[in-house]
Amino acid sequence: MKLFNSFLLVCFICLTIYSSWNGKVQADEDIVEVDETSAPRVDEDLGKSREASRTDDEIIQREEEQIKLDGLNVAEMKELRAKAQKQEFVAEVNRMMKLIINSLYKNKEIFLRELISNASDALDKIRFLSLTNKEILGDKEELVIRVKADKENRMLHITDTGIGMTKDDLIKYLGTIAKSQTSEFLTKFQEAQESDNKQSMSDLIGQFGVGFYSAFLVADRVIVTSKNNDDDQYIWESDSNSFTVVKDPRGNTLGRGTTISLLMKEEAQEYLEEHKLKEIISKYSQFINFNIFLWTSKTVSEEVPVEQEEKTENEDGAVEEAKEEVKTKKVDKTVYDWELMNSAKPIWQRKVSEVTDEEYKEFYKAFTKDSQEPLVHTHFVAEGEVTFKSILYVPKTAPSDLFQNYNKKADSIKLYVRRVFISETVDDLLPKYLSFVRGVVDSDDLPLNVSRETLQQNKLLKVIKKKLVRKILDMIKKLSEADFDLFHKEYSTNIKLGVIEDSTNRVRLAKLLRFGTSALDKAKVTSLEKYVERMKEKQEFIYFIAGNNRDELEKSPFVERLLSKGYEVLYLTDPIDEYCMQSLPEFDGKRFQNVAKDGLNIDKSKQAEEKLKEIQKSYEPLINWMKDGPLKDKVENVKVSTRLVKTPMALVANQYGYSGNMERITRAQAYQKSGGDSASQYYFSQKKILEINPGHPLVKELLRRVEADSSDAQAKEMVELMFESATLRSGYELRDSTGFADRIEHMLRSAMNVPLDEKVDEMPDYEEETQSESKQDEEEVKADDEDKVNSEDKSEHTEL
Amino acid sequence: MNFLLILFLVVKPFSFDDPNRLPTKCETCKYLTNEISESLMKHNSPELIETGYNFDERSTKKKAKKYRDSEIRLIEVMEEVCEQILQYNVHAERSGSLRYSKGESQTMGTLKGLRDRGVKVELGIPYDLWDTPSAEITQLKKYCDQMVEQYEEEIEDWYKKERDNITLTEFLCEKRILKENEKSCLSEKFVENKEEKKDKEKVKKTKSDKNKRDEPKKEAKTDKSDL
Repeated sequence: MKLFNSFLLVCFICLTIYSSWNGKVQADEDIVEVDETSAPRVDEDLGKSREASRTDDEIIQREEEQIKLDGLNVAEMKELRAKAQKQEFVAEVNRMMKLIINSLYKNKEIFLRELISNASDALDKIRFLSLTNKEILGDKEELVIRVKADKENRMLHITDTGIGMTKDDLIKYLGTIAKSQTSEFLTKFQEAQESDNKQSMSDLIGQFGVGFYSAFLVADRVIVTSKNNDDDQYIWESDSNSFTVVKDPRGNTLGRGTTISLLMKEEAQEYLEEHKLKEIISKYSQFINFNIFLWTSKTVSEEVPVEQEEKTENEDGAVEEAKEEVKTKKVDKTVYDWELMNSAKPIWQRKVSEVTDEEYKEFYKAFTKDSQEPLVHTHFVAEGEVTFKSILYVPKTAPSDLFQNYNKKADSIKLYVRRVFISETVDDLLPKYLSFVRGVVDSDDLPLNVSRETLQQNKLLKVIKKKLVRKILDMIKKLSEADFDLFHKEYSTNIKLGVIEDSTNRVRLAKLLRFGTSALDKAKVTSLEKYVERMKEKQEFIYFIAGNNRDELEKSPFVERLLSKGYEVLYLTDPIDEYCMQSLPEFDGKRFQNVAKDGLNIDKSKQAEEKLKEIQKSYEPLINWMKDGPLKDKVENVKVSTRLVKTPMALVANQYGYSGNMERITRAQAYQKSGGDSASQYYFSQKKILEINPGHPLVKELLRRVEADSSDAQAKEMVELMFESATLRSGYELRDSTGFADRIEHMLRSAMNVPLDEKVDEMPDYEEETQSESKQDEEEVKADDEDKVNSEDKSEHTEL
Repeated sequence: MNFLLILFLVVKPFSFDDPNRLPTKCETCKYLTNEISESLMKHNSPELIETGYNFDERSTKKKAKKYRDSEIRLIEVMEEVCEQILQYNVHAERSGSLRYSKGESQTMGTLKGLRDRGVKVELGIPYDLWDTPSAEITQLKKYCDQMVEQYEEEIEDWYKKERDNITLTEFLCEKRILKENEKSCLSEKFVENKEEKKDKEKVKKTKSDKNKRDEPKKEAKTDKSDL
């Protein structure tokens, strides 16, 4: 069906180009052929094989003799042809057939699918008409498709008891492609109806007359015999160059319907083989709503009485033989009969209890072309305003391009309306984050209106979508633990995207989230529900921290005290995690706290609060000195920390600002305005809060020094360095990495008793000895430059 | 005219109401139910929804349902109801639940007026973020989403059976969601007080009114997905 769609599209494009850019047709053709260099080039006499293109008159003669329609002998056929009026195909048809043969239909066997679905359309039409007018079926009440191969004559017949075509229809629909019979049909039907029906019914599935031409992939000649209730039986015949239409001299042999007879090409004879036909029909057409019968042969052995003459020859033994019973012998006999090819009802139409697991799996494999079994499926009937039946599957492995194609149209759900396949690219059937789900939806309640644009607007789709999403989430929730692990491995990002995108199912989706946690081993994950169960008695928040990987997070200064006090912290290591958390206001009444952000209040006891106040007071001199001195304009605030144990200082984000992890991820966004948009620029420029660990010896020493002498140069340098290392430890980027490195070097010199002003040894420059003087100059310039850089750095600091 | 106006953000303009507080359950419910009722009024097309186009032997009659009574109407209302919340702004000068209201707060209006006249107004955030919903409002929206999901069935019940008898606020907030001591916000009604009126007039008259009190802190809204 997809192939068919894209084919239509290409046709349309080509035709548009053809009509409006007439002069460029040649170029256009060239493109088509270049694209398909591997495919055989087709000349004007397309449709014929290479052998056939060497056709001489004799072969034509032989061919003519070969074509056999029941009840017509060769002479009659000839006469028929002589009488018939030869008509050329409309230009588009020729071009289109060229396209079919050249490029699109590499896979020849689909000709049968196209012809069968055309037949199914024709049957749908007559069934539809019969709803209002029972008479219309006449004595041909059976609505079936019959396929019969005639190997002797190299012919394949596909017969349906559908609506059939009048002479005009044959010319119109099999000679042009601009109007499909299907859309014409519905226009007519609509006109005939009273205009009380506001619903526009523009066309039925399948564009008869387009898929039809794929017959020339395998056939040299195509003969269509058709009988419509409003006309006599006519024969349409074509060799793909021109066609003829003539009244059938045999009269009305079909009753009603159409037979398409293909004179198969020499090299396409495999399609006359029974096993091949069986294979193709079950592959493509097993869910056709009408019975498809194939004319099959069976070899049966039969007991045949031995002929009497034998006995009379041998008169001597007559007596003896008379005693014996009548002699018989076994004879192998070929019996032909119609065999039903699509005995299975569309699986989703059956009751859940009547479908086996195997059938579900087979169905999944058949329509997804996935070789693996699905992880899980659900089969249900939704009732209410819209009734529909559906089977949904979660594949075991996510497609590798799941996120590359995240914003493209998903083709994961096949939509049927009353068993008639409509489309697999209905946008609004599932939200994007569930695009990995595969399945079918079949509804009786949608209008028979397949124009994809109008389908998109159909309000009923919203109801279907809502119910599908609920069912899918329900199905995932009910997965066994082992299966859920598999699911989580493949689709955890989808669930997180869902939390962000689908506000109407956020709580349901939040229950499907899994994260690493300090309470469990590295490889294990926990649900939020389990976390809440494990929470301490007075714990108000769900604590989490996000970063690159678990090792880094475990060592983060932010979790130090929480862990030592026995609180559980979730480790979020996927880039999407922190975004996801921001969309969740709370879980089970518990709010979330990013431990890298301001607002963490671990110990709420009165005692602790008093103690904290005391400490805060004693550190006031240091804090004020830092805020007004070395860290002026670098931080929003300096606070005494309650979350640190080992680390002297840490940088925390404002409750609504970017954490270090978030900054890192936002900077790495590939899809963003050059230089970042003003929002992210704003967040980047937001100052952080510096928290100091009052128990840390370095911090205590700082306090002592500042209290003693607020102009202590070493204290200033120490604070700067500690601020910078806190920045790094807290996951942020250093804005002045050169200054940082300089300060480290400086410190190393003092630590190793190397004088601060001791010069760097110059590397003697042997090659350029002659320019030794100018070299000296350069050195000086360099030194100057360095000074400049340093001073520039400093000025930058104050700007920050 | 081009002078720099620096706004000092007042951290605690009112002693009784924390400007950075989170929306309460009562407020969430109040505005959610208001929005649903308003949205239902807008979604009142008289069209018929037709279903049941049967091909088969079964009934040949089409089922038709009035859109006004259909599930689709409710789905359409519910899918956008919390988005509407984003149109609210924090009016920190008002008390209780009245701090949330559609339209821009008078302070914001004044500031914009100044900005448009060429005054450089420094709020600490770029101009193009002025109109993005504040953190508090996005929080209100998230609570709204959550309430919708949690009380979906109750809302459906009301829509199907009770919608002509009782307001949704009464049905959902008063009778189902809120405890006795949480309901106070429901009765709060907005009355424009004199002071505000005066302020407005002042803004109209004076071009360089610098005394901005109580502009709520515009917090960085971080849930703007960059994905």
